[in-house]
Parts: sequence; structure tokens; C-alpha cells
Amino acid sequence: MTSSSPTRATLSTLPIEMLGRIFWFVDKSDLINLRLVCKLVCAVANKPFAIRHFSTRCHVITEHSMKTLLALSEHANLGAHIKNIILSPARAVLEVPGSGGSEDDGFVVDDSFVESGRFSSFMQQILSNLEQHSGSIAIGVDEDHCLGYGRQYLVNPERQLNEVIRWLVDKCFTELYLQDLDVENIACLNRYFTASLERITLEEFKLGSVCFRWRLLSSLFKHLSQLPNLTYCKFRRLHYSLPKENRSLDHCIQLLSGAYISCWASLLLIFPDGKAVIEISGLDTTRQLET
Amino acid sequence: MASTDDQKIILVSSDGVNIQTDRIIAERSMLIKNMIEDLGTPGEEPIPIMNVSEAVLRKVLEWCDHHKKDPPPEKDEDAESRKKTTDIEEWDQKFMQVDQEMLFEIILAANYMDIKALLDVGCKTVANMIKGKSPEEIRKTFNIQNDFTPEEEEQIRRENEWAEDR
Repeated sequence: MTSSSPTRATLSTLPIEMLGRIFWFVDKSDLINLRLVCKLVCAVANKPFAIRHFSTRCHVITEHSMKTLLALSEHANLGAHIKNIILSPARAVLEVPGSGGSEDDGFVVDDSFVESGRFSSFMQQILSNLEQHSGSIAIGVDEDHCLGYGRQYLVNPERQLNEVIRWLVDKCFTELYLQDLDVENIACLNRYFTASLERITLEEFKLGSVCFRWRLLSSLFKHLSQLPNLTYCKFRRLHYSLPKENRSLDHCIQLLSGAYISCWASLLLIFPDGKAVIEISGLDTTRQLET
Repeated sequence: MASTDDQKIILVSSDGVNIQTDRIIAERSMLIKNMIEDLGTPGEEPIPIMNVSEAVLRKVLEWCDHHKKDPPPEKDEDAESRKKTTDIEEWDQKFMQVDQEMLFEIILAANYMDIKALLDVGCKTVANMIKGKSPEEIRKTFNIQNDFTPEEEEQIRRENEWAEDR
């Protein structure tokens, strides 16, 4: 300060808390560069860097990705900031045009990594590392199958996703958070939901481009209604977009038709937390109905 | 109590210069506001601003004058939850076109005098000087020496990769 010290005020003579304040205003990518400037700046940038890059980690279930997460979880300072881990069974990569490859081109799917138990041992190490410095970790499963590279479905996505869910359930997690699952896949997952789960959070159902077939939806709800831990289900949102084409009556939801209403009634029955929000957006109608 | 709008008060800078200003302007500073409330005799006693020199204090008061009609500051939110926008209004941008030493002196003064909005403008100005720059460019801009060993630098690069690698 001017009176007490003759030194010029510079970035590195600012008090640490001022520097910290400045670093909350820079972009995520700038924090990466700031860490390389000098020791002092690095030490101050570490916290915003860790919070903004690592609090929610999305990892694909491959050895490479799990190794990264393991290394991060072992880190004394950075690992402590991991709060959410989203696991994706696979990830689309760019298709190489004209490569003339087989059906499987363009996707990374590593079934053997899960089946061999390596995924399981990675996750055990990661979680025991995280237990050292973090109170609770939320684990989510994300399908991550639709990154806009042309093809919708992964090579056998259900199978590997099931392996992941089964692994999570076997490890006595009490809470399972499923994000972005579409109705077709969740219907084939539910046999792995067991009584060991205290709570299932089905944050969002995205019906998206799937044509509405109420038989499919009602069979899903029937499956879910047989779960012993049903009362803990927290169903928040149902997203359904009416397909733009294909308006034939069998496939499109008839908004105020008897069929829809009866389906909806079973929805209420299944999710008695009283806060279900149904969001319907479509070609002709946008409605939000609160129950 | 008489209207505070045209009340004058005297501030004393760290280098001993008396500066007269309007109470309403000076009270953008929570430090001064609280001091006036504690003293209870506005205008009579000069108020010492121990850590701020005349040049910086005049600059800070110029900002307070321009912003005297602003709504009172919101409750201090957690820095981490604050919106991360670095938009700065035009007048403030011009105001902050000063040399780096003055810029950091303003930040220090705003912190000491507890003027949150000015502190934020200062921090955002520095953040904008950092944005998009490489580590070397940041060092050049702020005249910082790289004190990492090659091994330490390599370790940080490896950790940085985690931020991009999934």
C-alpha cells in the first residue's frame, strides 16, 4: 500500500484474496494458462480451476478415461473438488467419411473393459480415493449416445449400460441418478433396480424423437411400479416432443384423449411424491401441466 | 437530521492531504459510511483514510461521484456463486484506462474502503487483461517471472490435461 510500502502495486503483490476474486472472472480455459504463470498465481488459480473443471466429471467407460479419473481422484488438492461423476457407456466419435467401414465404425465401445472386471476395480479405487476428501459423490449414468454425428444408436448400448447399472447396484449404492435416459432403454434396465436402492432419481425422461407409443410407456411404468423402493422414486420431468412428421394417430399422443389421460393417471399413481411435472411440447401445443 | 445530500465532509489521505467531498459521494464507501455513523458528527472531524494516497483517493472519489445515484450495493454474495460476466459499462471502462500501478491501487483502495462495485470493476478489468492470453503473454503483461522448475511445469501440464481429457 502506498503509505506503508514503497513497492509498486503489481498483480503479484495483490493480497491473495484479491487475486482469487479476479480469477473468478476469467474463463475456464484461462485458468489452465494461469496455472502455468508462476507458483503464486498457480496456487491461487488452483481452487477455481478445480471447481470449474472437476466438480462434475463426465467419463466414458474405457480404460483410458478411467485412468484419468483415477489419477485425478488421487490428487491431494484437485481430487477433493469432485462432486459428481457421470458415466457414459460409450461415446460417439467423428465418422471418417468414405472410410467404408463396417456398421461399428464411429463408436468406441469397450465391452471387455466392463466384463473383465477392470472397470469395477477402477471404480473401487476411485471411490475409495474420493472418500478420503469428499463427503458425498453423486454418480449418474448418462447415455451420451446422441452427439449429432449422424447415427443415433451405439453398438448395443443397452447391454453395456446394463453392466454399468448392475455394477452400481451391486456396490450397494443407496441412490441412483439416471440422467437423459430414453424410454426404450430404461425399460430394459429396470430389472437391475433392486431393493438395495433407497432412492431412484429419474431426473428426466426424454422421449424426444421416439414416437409416442403408449403401450411402451405404460409397460415402462408397470415395470417401475413393481419396484419395492417405489415410494422413494422422485420423478421430476417428462419431456415429450411430438414428432414433426408421422402424425398418424397410432403413434402420436392425443393430448386430451382418453388414452393419454389414463396413462397420465397411472403416472400419478406410480409417483406419489406429488410434485411430478409433465412437460409436453409439440407441433401444435405447448403445455405444462402441474399435478 | 438535515438532508445528507449536500453535506460536506473532509477526508484525509495517507499522505496527509485534506480532500473535501459530498457526504453522499463518500458514502459509496461502506468504510466511510460506518465511520460517519460511529462518529455521529459528520463534517466536523476530518476522516483519515489511512491506506490510500491522495492521487488514488481522488480517483476513487471520481468513481463514487459518477455512481452516487446507483442503487445501494446488494448483499455480498459468495464470490463463487456470483455471475461470471466481465461486462463493464462504458464509463467504467474509460475510467479504468490507467496504468497498471494505478489499476491495482484502485483495487486495493476499493477493497480497503469497502466499495464492492468498484472492486468488481477493477477485478473484471484485470480479468479481461488475462483472458485469452498464453502463460507467457500473461507473464509479459504483468511482468511476472516464471519460477517453476521444468519438472514442476511438467507436472502442472499433466494436471491441466485432465481438464481437457475425458
